[in-house]
Amino acid sequence: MPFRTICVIALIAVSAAWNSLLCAEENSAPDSPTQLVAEANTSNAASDIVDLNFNDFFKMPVGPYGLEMTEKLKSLDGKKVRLHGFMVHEECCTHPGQPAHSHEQDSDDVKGRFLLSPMPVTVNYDHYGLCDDLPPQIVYISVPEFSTTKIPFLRLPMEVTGTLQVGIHEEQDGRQAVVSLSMDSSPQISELVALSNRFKAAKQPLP
Amino acid sequence: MKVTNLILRGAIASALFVGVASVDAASTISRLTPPSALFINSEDSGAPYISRFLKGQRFDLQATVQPDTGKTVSSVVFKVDGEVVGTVLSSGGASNTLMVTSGLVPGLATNSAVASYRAYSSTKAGVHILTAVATMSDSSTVTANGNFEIVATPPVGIKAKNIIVMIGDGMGAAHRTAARIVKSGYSLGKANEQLAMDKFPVTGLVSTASLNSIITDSAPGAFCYSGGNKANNNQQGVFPDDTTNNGDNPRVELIGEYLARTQGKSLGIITTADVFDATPGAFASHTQDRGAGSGICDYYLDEAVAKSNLTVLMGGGRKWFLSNSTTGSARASSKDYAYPTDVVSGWGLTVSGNASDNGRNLLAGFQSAGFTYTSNATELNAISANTTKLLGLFSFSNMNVAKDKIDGRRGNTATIGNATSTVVSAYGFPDQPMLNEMTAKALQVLSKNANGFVLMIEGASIDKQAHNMDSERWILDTIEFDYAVENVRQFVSNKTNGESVAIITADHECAGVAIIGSSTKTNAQMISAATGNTTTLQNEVGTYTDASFPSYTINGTDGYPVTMDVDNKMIIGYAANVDRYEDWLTNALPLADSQQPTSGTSYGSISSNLAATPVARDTATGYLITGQIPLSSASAVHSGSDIPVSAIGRGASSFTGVQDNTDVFFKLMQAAIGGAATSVK
Repeated sequence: MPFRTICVIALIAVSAAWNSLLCAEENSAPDSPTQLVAEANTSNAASDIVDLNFNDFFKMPVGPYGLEMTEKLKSLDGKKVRLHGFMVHEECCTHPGQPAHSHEQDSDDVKGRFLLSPMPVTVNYDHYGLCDDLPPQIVYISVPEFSTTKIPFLRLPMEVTGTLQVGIHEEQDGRQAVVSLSMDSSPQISELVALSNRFKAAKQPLP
Repeated sequence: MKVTNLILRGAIASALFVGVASVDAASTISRLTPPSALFINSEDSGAPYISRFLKGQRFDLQATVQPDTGKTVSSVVFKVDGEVVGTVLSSGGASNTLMVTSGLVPGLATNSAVASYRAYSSTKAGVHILTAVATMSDSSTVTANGNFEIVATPPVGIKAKNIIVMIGDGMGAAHRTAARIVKSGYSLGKANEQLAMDKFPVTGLVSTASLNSIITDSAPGAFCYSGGNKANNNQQGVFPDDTTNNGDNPRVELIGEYLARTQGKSLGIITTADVFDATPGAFASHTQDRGAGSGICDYYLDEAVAKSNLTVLMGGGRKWFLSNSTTGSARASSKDYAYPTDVVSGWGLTVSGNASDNGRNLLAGFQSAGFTYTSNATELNAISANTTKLLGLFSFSNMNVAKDKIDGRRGNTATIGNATSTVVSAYGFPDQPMLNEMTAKALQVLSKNANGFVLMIEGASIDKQAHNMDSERWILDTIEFDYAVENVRQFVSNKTNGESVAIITADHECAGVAIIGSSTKTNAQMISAATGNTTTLQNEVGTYTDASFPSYTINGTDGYPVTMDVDNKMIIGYAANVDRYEDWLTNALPLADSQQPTSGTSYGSISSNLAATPVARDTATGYLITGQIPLSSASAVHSGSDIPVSAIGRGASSFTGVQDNTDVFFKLMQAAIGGAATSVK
């Protein structure tokens, strides 16, 4: 049960520094997040993939009204890109004064998608609805491979590769999205879903 | 006297039961609003009365009735001192009444009803008994009594034409002391110069509890000044209720609404936070959800412009004013609200509120209403002298803090992510005004109203940076606030502006701040010592005589410290703290602020060096200081300590002593309505 021994780090306390998120002694665990991240980190070397940074999304400085997309972002519509970020922790059904429910208890079962954020952030739909101060660079990541599966939450920085869609549109949860991405097949997500299924079968909560 | 009152009220209460055929013992009235100790304890314990209002100040009457099994509620009659003031029927009835049986909070009995009578007021000073008599479907009744006080504002002198409320959010006594030490320094035990706020001639203490806790948040913490009453945490402009609708809570008429209606005054609201934030929000909105940004900002235009003569609104928060077809908009139905018919009718609202107007361009709406819009400091400084309505939205959410704005003006850069930039440029808003610049323009515009004005000025990030335990940032924000205080002091002291009263206070203390000493080391030694060793870093703190007098140099051009990392710098401790790493050195960057829609733009890469929380900051250089509050709190918290209030102008002398936060409202209103014999400057 390698996950049982993994240091549980509260999302809100997650540093942006990659290494500080991980516990050194877990490096050799067969299915630890460390390995998942390491695999993902080296798995995409294709030359036609463009590295996209959250910094590249909007023109700076901001003008007198809204944000404007950069030419770079607009030019990547329909192209393969690679992004580094954090999966948004989407909670549901917690109330002030009560402990947050674990991911496994979430009832907001949006399948086959997650949100990628430039920083670690937790949202609680019951408490905040869609007004949760997520940065506008939030990217909707659809995972065609697991379109009928709720994507388990990963408390680690992650790399995402896939086809970008640029332009304001309404996502299935009602939120206005600027950028979305259809994710390529990912060993990181596959392992995550497999692990989640194993824990579910064993009736253990994910750590 | 108290005993007499008790007997008298007991007799009134008993008389109310006479003639009731069937008393329903199983049904209950579980809430009676306005809140009172009489309702909770079934006896009048005398002053202080929980709910107090001015003569003519409007407020809602409301009762939650939980009927016995099998019954429904047919009607609720509200009486004041035995006289019927309104009847709420299960269907029909007067337009300012409504009985709500759906959308109630969980846990109430089946067929429970919330009955409201909107916009009641009384002109008779003194304590009044409020009685609710609920009649059930089988004609049985249940009765409950509460009370409230109408406070007189006797004509005792010249009235204050202008009312200025300055709120250093989270600013306790120690925040003020720290700013004084940095801004002017001490010699041989005496301050070299007082802060502008020290120069206000009258100072007292304010206790800050909310209706449901000794620890308030900023919503009830500001509503006590804007409405004179206690609210639950997270709620502003309203009393709590048993419905889930954010827009239907029992309202209390606010200072801006009351003085616009009765005296034709204007209202100005300026803040360094997002303009929807709780402190500004509590001066011009009514909601049980301080986070309902769409609804609060809509209210500013839809109601506050008409009902409060809102003519100046400045701060951050542009994200609420943009249509959701514009990138960066945060407008969301779940953070909006609509008003039921009784609220619209009772309060004379011109719109019902639209909870699905995410596509609304609120900014354009303000412009259509005659507001001059400014998006940065340059535009603000260039407004025409003829400007009569002013909207300034200088960032998407909270504005950057004073340190980062000043560093921006000085061109001081830092490594942010994989770039070198000033923080304000990295946020996308390199030209944000300082609070004193906003204050000067607000006073210029508001002064055009010959009837006077109400102006709320908030130094918001004194609190936000104290939460982050970022000492240098909240100290500079307190200094920024003090420069705005000087603007106000000069305005009040200038006879050509007419009679004014101004107060400086907070809504609560934040973070349990204390000045615990000074570093025993030079800055170079402190940098060398910042290697995470607990003993070394702990031993840096010089206490008592070792603290001596830290000395800072002020930049003659901008008025802020050249650096906060001087030799033997002042050391700040925190009592309301969560875990943090501390190296005693200035943090080059602020903590990440997820409320900043643009912060990810610059800090978005995972190679970013921007920490999210105090425990993720300085992890290599600092030592772990264990907090006393749960780790589920990402930052330090508010404390229940009393806070100072300082006053100047007409009626200022009344602000001495220890007072409840709601007393502040009534003292301001005495100055505005009944006047005061003296003006102290």
